[in-house]
Amino acid sequence: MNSRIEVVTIETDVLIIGGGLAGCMAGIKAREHGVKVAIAEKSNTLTSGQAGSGIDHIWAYIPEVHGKMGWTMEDLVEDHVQDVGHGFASRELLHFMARQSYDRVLDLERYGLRIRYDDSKLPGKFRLVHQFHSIPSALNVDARPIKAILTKEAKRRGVTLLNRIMMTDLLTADGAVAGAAGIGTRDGKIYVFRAKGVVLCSGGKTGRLGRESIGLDFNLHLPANLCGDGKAMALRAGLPIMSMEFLSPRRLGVAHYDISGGPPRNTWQPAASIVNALGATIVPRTCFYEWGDLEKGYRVDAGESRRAWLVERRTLAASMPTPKTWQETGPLYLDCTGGTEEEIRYIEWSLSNEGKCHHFLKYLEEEGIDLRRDKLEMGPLSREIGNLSCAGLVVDANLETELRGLFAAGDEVGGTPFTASTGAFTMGWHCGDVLGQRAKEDDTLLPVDGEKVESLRQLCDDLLFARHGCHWREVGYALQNVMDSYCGEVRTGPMLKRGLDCLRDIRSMPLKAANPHELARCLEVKFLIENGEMVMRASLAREESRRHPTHFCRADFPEQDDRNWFAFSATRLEKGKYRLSRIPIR
Amino acid sequence: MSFRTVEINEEVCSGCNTCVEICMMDVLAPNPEPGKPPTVVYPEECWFEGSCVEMCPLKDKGAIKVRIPPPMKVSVLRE
Repeated sequence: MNSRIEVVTIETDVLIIGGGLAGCMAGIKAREHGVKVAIAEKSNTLTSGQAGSGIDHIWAYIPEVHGKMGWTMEDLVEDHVQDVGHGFASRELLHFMARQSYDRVLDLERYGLRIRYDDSKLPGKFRLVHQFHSIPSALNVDARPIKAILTKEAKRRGVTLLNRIMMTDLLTADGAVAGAAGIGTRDGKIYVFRAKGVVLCSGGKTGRLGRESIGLDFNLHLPANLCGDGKAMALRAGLPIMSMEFLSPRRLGVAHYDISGGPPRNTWQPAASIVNALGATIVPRTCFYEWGDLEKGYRVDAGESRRAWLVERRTLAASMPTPKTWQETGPLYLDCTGGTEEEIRYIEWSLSNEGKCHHFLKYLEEEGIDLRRDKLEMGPLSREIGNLSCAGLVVDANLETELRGLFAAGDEVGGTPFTASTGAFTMGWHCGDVLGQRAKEDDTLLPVDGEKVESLRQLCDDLLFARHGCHWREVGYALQNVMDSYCGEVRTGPMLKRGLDCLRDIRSMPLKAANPHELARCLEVKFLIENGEMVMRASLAREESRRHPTHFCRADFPEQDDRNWFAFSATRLEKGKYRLSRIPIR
Repeated sequence: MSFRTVEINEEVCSGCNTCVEICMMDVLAPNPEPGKPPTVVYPEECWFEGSCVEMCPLKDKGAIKVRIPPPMKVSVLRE
């Protein structure tokens, strides 16, 4: 059939799929090897990804502070594995990140990121706060413009930035990656990349797998165009995907607005507490860390710090209201009114850097809402495969997948719960370095799978030129219905199996796109269906319940079963059949 | 179904299309006539992070606004 769609072929050395933090760092580093580097980005690198409108924290191991205190990298990793991952984390990868973290922060400073402040009494003048670890390891920084900084640096180094291209298929040959194909979300062309190496870093989060809390489909905690694209692509290329069963239940945030910032801690520390309508404290506020004098030999007992920290964190987790307890004991409010002026200003500064919170602050100002005087009502946020999940691609210690030349970075990587911007910076950098080096030494561009490209072209033709078909939103809702009904906060074998039957029906719904924008949305829905299927199958395989990391509940297997299930699940698609296996946690 | 989300002040907007270029959710399209304000094609796909407002060269004159619709309204307790 004569397709009306134009195919553009681009040859490069290193292809980076996703222009977020990881992708931009990968591109920046790969260019140091003097090779051709292209980033294919679904929207625009200036504003894309979870850090698209800024971040406020970057965690790092800082030898001149942490080392001096006697808190080691091993301590940091142990904290992360225990409190963030609850065991579901790769120590090896976390070590790697901890080792590289400070160097990456210094690189970012060289590119224009402000990380030092006169009011800090610490060596290096960092504003260091608690976030993920027993010792404050999170630098509070002016990183609202982080994507602009990285885009500028990438451009300066000669990275080819190709915005408005949604990648859809990995191309392989003889057990290695040959490139990838995708579509222009505005021009509707098909883009085929031939590359010597590919970094997959399209973000790890998947939203839109449940009906959004308040009726505005795209008012999500995460950027609404993060649909697990990379995971779906990797699955289709025959690669195993880890831990998809950890689709989070709803949790509480600022009601209706669906704002992030991790209240009452993280961006809202130190002054935010959670109170009820009578003013009784449900979750108390915290305080900034009391640094001792590092010059005078202030040292910590890391083991004791961890013990105390874990107790505090468990208490926090236990007292954190859930949507269920909120219904029983609410209304509940996020309360900063007890904070000092200095503390409130600090929170406002943090919020101004933390993504959507920036616009949220503007909104508060317009509405005459003042954190000094007003308590913000809390309510349920949307479901997501989110930060606490360890879902993602299986990689080795070098971040390479089973497919030679295909690397993954950032949240795309499995087994790395909540490694956030640091995970992205360190992993992206490493992937760019390795692939840049390899590309310099290797001239080979593998042949592209013409059949796959034709198949994509045919699909796009069908979607764009079909006379009949469903709007992407209709099929998206149908998927959300199925996920909410059959793969909800409480799951059972019979319901999951029924859900899979329903998914088959959804797959057979014909879609129609009126233009390239809608074509991209249709393809996103197709990716969401893949992700949903993986969630259900992995949930079916995990025959146990486990409170942490994400309240995984099988009503038909209510007990935690560490003997069999203290492990990552892995979902693979082989010749049209899904295979589930276990990856032991070392 | 259409929510009023991104709103462009046609008196102020210069049609530079910066917002079109950087919109994460691709909700805007350039006006066919150069120099004229862009069209908000998919207002219901807005993610409400306000990058379009922040990066607008005429930000201070209010060329573009992200309106928070009623379902998103924050409720407060004020003593």
